[in-house]
Amino acid sequence: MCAVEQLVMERYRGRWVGVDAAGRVVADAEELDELLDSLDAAGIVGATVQRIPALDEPLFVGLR
Amino acid sequence: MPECWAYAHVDLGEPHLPDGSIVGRPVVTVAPVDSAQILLAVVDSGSPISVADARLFQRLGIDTERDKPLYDVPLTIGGGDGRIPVYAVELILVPPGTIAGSPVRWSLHLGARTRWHLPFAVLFGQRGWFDRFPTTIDATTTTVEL
Repeated sequence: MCAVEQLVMERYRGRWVGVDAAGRVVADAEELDELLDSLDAAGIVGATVQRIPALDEPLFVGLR
Repeated sequence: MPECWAYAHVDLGEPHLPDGSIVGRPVVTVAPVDSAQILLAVVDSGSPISVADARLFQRLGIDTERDKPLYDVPLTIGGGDGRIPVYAVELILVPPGTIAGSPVRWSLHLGARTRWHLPFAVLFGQRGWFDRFPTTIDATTTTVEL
């Protein structure tokens, strides 16, 4: 897994992204299932999936 | 001696702390069975259960609208009280990129949480993770005993 570059990250805040081994965003979507569908439809294998948080989102410290 | 996989903490793009330091999360990599993609999952010893974005469950073979859960648990969701359904699922633990190990498949109980706005798809807690994988977390690394 390769970390997303900070500058690239800024473009995708608030969205789910698929990242390849080089740290490039290869797909993005509003929701997780939409992203997974998009990656599969494009024939992409082995993308690492995460959501880039918006800058004003609170820091997660645990579910209650 | 059991095999161990070490995962470096990951900056998920969360805003830096006021002193400028990054937020490094204890992350492991997992995948639904037969999936071509890899999901980031945070390991949290303070969470009694494991939960995930409800939108993942179709990939796990679960229809959260129709399938009956094993049970449900109360959880504060978006400032309101609610109960989340918990299902029996299977996941695959994917080795860190630095290790050429074979993925490990296991069964767990996983809660389906709607309105998921976290920077990772799965949160592993005591049930579903720590009861299967002895895990040590320090300031930089999560070490998982297989």
